Amino acid sequence: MATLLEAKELTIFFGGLAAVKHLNMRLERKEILSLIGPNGAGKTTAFNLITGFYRPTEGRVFYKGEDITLLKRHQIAGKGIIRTFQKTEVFPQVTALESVMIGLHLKESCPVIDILFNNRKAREEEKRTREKALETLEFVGLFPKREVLSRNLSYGEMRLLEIAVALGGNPEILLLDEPTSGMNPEESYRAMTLIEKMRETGVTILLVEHDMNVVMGISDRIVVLDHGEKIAEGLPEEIQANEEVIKAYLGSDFIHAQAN
Amino acid sequence: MNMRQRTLLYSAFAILLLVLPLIIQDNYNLHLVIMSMIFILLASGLNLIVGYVGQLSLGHAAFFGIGAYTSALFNLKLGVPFWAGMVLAGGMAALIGFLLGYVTLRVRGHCFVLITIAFAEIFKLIHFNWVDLTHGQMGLSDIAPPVLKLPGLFNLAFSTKSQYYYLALILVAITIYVNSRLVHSRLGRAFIGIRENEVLAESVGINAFKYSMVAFVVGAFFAGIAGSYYAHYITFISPDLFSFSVTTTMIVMLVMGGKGTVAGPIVGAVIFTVLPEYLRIAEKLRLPIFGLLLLVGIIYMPQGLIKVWENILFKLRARGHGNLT
Amino acid sequence: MANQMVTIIMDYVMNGIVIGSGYALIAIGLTMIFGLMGIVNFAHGEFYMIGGFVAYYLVQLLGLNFFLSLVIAIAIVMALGLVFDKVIFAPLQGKPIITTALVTIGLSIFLQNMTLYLFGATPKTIPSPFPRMPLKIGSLFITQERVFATVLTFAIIIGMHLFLKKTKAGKALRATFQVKEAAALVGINISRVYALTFAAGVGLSATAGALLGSIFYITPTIGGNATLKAFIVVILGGMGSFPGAIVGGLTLGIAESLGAGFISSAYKDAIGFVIVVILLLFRPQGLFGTLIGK
Repeated sequence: MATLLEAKELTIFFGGLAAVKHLNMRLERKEILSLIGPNGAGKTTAFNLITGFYRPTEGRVFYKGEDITLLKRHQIAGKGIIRTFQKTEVFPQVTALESVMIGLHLKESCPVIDILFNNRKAREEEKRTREKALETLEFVGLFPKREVLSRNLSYGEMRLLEIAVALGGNPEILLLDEPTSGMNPEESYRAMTLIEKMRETGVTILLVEHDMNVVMGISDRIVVLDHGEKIAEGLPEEIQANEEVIKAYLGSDFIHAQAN
Repeated sequence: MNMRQRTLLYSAFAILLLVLPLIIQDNYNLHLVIMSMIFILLASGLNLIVGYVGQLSLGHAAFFGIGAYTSALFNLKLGVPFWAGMVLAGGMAALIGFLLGYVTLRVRGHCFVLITIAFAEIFKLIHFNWVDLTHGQMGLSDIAPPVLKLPGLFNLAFSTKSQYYYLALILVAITIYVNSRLVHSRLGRAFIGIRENEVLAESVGINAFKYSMVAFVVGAFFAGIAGSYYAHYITFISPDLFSFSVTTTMIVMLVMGGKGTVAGPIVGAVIFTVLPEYLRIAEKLRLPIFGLLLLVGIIYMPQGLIKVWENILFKLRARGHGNLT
Repeated sequence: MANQMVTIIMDYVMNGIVIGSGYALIAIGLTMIFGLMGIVNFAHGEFYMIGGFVAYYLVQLLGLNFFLSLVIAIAIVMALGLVFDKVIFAPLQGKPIITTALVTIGLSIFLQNMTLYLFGATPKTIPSPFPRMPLKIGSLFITQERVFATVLTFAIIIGMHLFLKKTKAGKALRATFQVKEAAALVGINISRVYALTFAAGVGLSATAGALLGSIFYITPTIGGNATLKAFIVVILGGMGSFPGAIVGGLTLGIAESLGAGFISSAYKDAIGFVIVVILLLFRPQGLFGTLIGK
């Protein structure tokens, strides 16, 4: 099945206002899909709906054909769908390494009895967790900072750590909420490379982004939201030329974007 | 300090603990040691939910009392010996902890704190008023001391403090071992994840409710065990065991010692059992001072004495290195 | 026979209103402090207790007029509130729940036990200026102290409502309540608002203490109970809601009174707890707990 994730008629009302209205979109395996739109278009809300942080008023979310709409957030993570947050979230008083180890929670299954007796099975799992965490830190480029407390990292490093923590559990789908916000062009470029590297390891990525360079540079497809509704969907070139989209907001942003 | 030095130090410490009753011969001081060990059990259990998961449970005295009364009542009414009584006590405390947690851990935060306080008060009320069962204010007395029985070989009823001491030592060792194993495993990481950033933890698959329950119930279990031990040691219990002042003492020990560490509750329990006695502080001044310490401690040394000690060692080491260059 | 029962119930309800209005007053103070400063004040009941104690000693030792003592006691506690805010609470802004909770609990323990140490545990009642003759309302009898306390409590609540709705300072308070950052931007001095709110909040608590101190006994430990009750009212009525505090307070007062009368007076204090537990079972997000998403 090529369609990994599908949202059908997703709608949510806050008070009397519809933040997301009849959203229909799908995510194909191994693609990088970007969700764009002006501020307040409902992008993060859509993320929250998909990952169990909000319950939709109407509509459903399907993962590999299974209805996951009403699952709790940790259950959705358990299915292999992991998200990051618009405002960088870390475990402040924990080192980078320990943070990623926490993120590996879903991959750990040693029974409590073994843990209590600290037998070989338990010790090996601890070792595996630690090694995987170090590998992941290496992958995102944070290995040198592994013993630093999360709250002492720079902003850019925290963003990378967030991705490392999310990657830990080998997610099938990674939802990145504005991963390059606050980054300078060099950092953004490195983030872009990282995202493509992740796709190569088999992760499907759904991205909310404002930086048009990044969006046009790495997306396979783009979905555009405005006022909670999907107004366009297609390949980057198609979106660039789409009048509705340009009208909605691309405008000056697009003019500054470079192709690929 | 290298591996060999550390092993040597720990071994020396272990030997010291084993021969302590030979060194401290008088009952008064041995009693203090035993009381601090009871508080180690209480504070360590409380540490899981407060220090690691980060939810402030202020009803822990309730589990202590439940354990004490369960064990005492089974003993007095049904002649159940201490060893079985202790297990029943732990089980009962864990069960009630489970029920209470099920209702209140869904909300956590301030609501949780409040409910736990109220819960302990309610239990105090119940044990105060259900005179038929608990003799109310008069309490329960003549609780049988533990009996070590090997048919045909010996039949030993505990009568000296050093016997109680060794039993407490075993309980403390088991509790600390279990705590240590839990917090240094995936469970401990889950706890810490919830404490540091619950939303992030859930987004990577940690079920905050489930793990909060685990920490809460395990803590309750150990408190129940401590209660049972207390009942058969002092042989008299009253509803005062449910008092907020008992919880206060545990919290001060935990916070001042260092919540979120394995050694913190131990340090806190020992210092705050022994020090008030030695400083001859009037019983009535003890609590106001504890309150003040809590207030000041959480602001100025939020990670407790353990961290203060670590900082001192760190600075000494740094200065030592500086002197060598 | 039925007539007698009605009278008994009315009597309970009336007394429930008396104590319930006290609960409402304390709860409003608590809700103000949380709603505005985000601080859950576990020491709130201690200000209730101190209000009672100060009023008592002013009347008993200094022989001051009851009403004057009331006013002075409230003023003293409010001043105390300003001091505590400056020294303890202002620096706590933004710290995690467990820190603020522990600080206010430490404060509560200190205040309660220090008072116990200094003044002993003997229950006291503030000598009442009212004649002993109870008033007759229909077929019910009620002491004048109770009438005074209830009427004054309602007057204060209405007064506060008017203050918040009509005056400039009240509007500034409500603005800060709703959106702190915006309020700061329009030039409202946030830390002063916080300090005044805290003082007002504990002042309300002290008012209840001084008023109810002429009806019920004052001991150093009544604060703990008052805090618990205030919290229960706030959970029932909704954190940050004034009408909620009033409705919740009266409900709790009446429920306790009826419960004490018909079921058991020993377990009176457990009634509120049971209500909250039932509420949590059916509405697990509580009324001020946070359950994000599902």
